[in-house]
Amino acid sequence: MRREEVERLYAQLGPGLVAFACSILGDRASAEDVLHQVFLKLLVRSVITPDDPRSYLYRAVRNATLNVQRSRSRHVELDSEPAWFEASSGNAGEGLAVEVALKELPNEQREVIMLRIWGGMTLEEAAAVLEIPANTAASRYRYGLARLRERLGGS
Amino acid sequence: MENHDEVFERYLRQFRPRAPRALPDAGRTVPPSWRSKLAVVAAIIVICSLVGWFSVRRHRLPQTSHLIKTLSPSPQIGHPFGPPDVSLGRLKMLMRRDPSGLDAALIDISQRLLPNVENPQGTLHVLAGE
Repeated sequence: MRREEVERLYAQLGPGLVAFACSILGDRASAEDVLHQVFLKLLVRSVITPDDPRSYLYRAVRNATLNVQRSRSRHVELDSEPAWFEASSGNAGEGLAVEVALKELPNEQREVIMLRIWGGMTLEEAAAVLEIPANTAASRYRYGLARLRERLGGS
Repeated sequence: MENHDEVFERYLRQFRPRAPRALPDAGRTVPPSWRSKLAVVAAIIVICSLVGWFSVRRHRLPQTSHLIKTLSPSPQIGHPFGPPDVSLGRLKMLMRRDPSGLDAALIDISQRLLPNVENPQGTLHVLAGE
């Protein structure tokens, strides 16, 4: 893949991907490291442009974050500082509340929500990335969204 | 999907994820100026190697004119079947390197080896007269 193409994908999908990696790993620095690792592989290994780069990249980032997570100790403190969302978007305080509420969700629900809301995927696409049936993804999403709304006080 | 889910999704989407830090430079491709310089140097090396190889080869193999000369029978020797240094290998080499030279050499050899049927004092003419 050419450098320009990789940089375009990085600019376009990077924010969503790093938020997704953050939601699995818990800390932003590691999430960015994982993201760089995935994108640099695209540059160095001359990967042919996949048909659906977004799904491909989310799957690659997920696999890489899960590898990092496996190699870590079992309990990792999540970042205490807001790291997922831009301070300028929406209300900064609310952004932090959303982040905290997301962190409190079970992993499998949080993953589907991240892919659907900030990855811009359909539930079928999210299910493909997570390698689960579409119905499972839909139910996890529904339960996760309900719990998130509950945590955020019915926003 | 229920309507209030869509409203809640819209609410969530207003929080834009933070952009990651820039990609490191590793894997950056060589700038075109460097690539073109590299290509020019490579081309020069290839050309020099080819020229050197051809000149060495030319010195190692005998020249075509020399071959023709050695293929031509020597009048002093007067061997009935041509000069002893005419061999199939030499003819093959001449054929590969200079087909027109081969023709000339063969004509030259045949004129010296074969009887001249057009000579008025030749055997054929004498026999024909008898």
